[in-house]
Amino acid sequence: MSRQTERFNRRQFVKTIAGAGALLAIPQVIPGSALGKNSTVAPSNRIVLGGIGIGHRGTYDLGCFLQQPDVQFVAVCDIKEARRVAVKKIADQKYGNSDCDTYRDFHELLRRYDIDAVLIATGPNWHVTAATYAARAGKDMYCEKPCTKNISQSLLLAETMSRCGRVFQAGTQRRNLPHFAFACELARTGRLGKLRRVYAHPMGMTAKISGWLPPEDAPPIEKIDWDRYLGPAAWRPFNKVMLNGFNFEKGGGFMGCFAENGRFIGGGVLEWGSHCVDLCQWAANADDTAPVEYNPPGNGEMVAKYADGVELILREKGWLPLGSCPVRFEGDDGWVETGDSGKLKLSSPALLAGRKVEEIGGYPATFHVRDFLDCVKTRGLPKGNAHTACNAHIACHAANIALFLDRKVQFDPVKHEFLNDEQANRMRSEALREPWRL
Amino acid sequence: MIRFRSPLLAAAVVAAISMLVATARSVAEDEQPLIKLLQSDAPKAEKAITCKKLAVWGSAKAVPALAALLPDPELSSWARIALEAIPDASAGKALRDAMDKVKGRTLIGVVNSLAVRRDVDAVDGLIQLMRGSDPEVASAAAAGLGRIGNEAATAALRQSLADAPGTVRSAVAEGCILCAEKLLAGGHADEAGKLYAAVRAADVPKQRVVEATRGAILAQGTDGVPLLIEQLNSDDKVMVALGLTTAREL
Repeated sequence: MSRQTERFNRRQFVKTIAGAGALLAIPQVIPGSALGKNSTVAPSNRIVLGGIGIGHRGTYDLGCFLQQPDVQFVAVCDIKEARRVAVKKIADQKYGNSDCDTYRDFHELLRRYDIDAVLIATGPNWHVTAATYAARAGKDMYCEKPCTKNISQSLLLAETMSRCGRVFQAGTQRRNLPHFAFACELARTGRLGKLRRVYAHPMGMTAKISGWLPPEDAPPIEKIDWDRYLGPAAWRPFNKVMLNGFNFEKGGGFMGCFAENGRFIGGGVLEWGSHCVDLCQWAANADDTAPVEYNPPGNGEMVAKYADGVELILREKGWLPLGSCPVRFEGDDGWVETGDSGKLKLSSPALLAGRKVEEIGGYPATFHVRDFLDCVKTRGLPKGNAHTACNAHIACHAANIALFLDRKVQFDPVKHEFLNDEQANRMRSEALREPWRL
Repeated sequence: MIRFRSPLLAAAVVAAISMLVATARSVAEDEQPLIKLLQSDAPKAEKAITCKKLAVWGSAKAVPALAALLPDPELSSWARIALEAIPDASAGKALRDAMDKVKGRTLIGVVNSLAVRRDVDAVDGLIQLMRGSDPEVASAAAAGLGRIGNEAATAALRQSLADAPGTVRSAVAEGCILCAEKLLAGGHADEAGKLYAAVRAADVPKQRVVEATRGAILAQGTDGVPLLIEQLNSDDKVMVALGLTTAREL
């Protein structure tokens, strides 16, 4: 048990200090920052944050969090010593102290009573498992995408967050970017006429089973904890390529990482699908469901269909030059397309209703972090909540299953079963390596 | 995306992984050669990926070969991927039989797989493990009983709320709450309410009390409003937060 576990919680601490101060009546100088003056946030109103698996993407997320005046980042957990040291340095430099604690085992971090929320940016192999353990420990969380590795995990994620009463924000930051939100709004409110097609960029439409790579000498556990890196993934011997591939087990073992043309890829449609399909779900007013039919690729496209006939089209090419993670929505009366550039292309300027594209705005992604933090305080539902993330991920996983089986599959989004398809149904779930469970 | 600094390294990696991955089309092959491979002296890496294939295409015929891998700490998790997925009852029996043959982490994995399969025939064995001396195995068994959630599992969990050691009680409470959720979803709100109340009254971690309180409010429907208001008026910010979250669900 860490020393922090034995600390008072903040309320006890404040009461104790107040009592002692009254009794002793010793003159004190209290810094304004401790009282929330000088444009700072009082400690009682701060959200105390810990980080789990803060690598490249996590460092970007952490930067967004550290910009928020009501966040106090106090601890990092990582299986890599180098990352523990690097993140501690970032936090300590930010606060001008050496208080950021480091852990190799996330249980120790989760046992700390003073931590309200965690940033989970481990890599897709760990996301849902770490999120589940965090929820059971009573922490709210911002969890990078893709959040789950299969359909069953997606359902358990939503179930666990509800049961534990936790605030969950998937790292689907485009839900909080104004230009994507505007495009979705045009589709959702009928400004495009009856919606017919929603398009998503999947960034990878290949499905292969991942195995293991030749064994190499493992570093000392203090440097790299390979067992914890594997976590819920089936056992493999240590291998540096597997260690450093951010796609490791993305999409589970059936869509796992592999090398192609010198690049490490994997996850089927999950890489950008977890963003773009998520936006299409929103645009199609389908946050509570998922498409009912998924077809294998043909002519560079995968076509899925919602129960109301709207088509979800996954395609790598054919996009306007509007930046990465593009989406396009087409209705009887018009269309809109946008991407990470922040620009929008529309079938008619009238769809802007007098506004200019520049006024709608785009990045920064801090909007999404802010949404999460506000919901931690209000207990509201953030834009990337577990329920919407669950269904968007189910759509991606079902598409991956059609990709893997190379045939059409039909899905019941109420029962969460494929129709008359035993192979597809078996792929809804995958055993976790011991001792991990959801 | 990863970029390799050395073209030689990249080529080596591509070659290595190419040997270990398979496209869907090549996977869809006869089951019998896959079983033979598991029973051969083939490298473990090949056996591992074969387990994945059997998870999709394996039948009862593959179960003995898969079950033989369960005691192997390097292949146990791969074997369970298939045994968890194969719907035939023989896969469940193989996992149940393994409860007496493996220990420690490997046993936890077996317990977890039985829970995922909702194997009611495993309940007696899981109850014994919940009352055993290994707290990690006992905790996994308690949570697993919660997932299965039949009458026997519910009764055993409820009894253990009082007498389980402190290291296991949190998982017992989690199991009780999972049973209560199942009761509630099945229309047995009164029974669910009693189980939630039992957890709330037990000496369990606060987060379990939070979860049971949420359940207790929801189980009562509109009659749960006073309990909800009690949380909103609490001096404890955790319970206030729970009240706010639950209000949205009522």
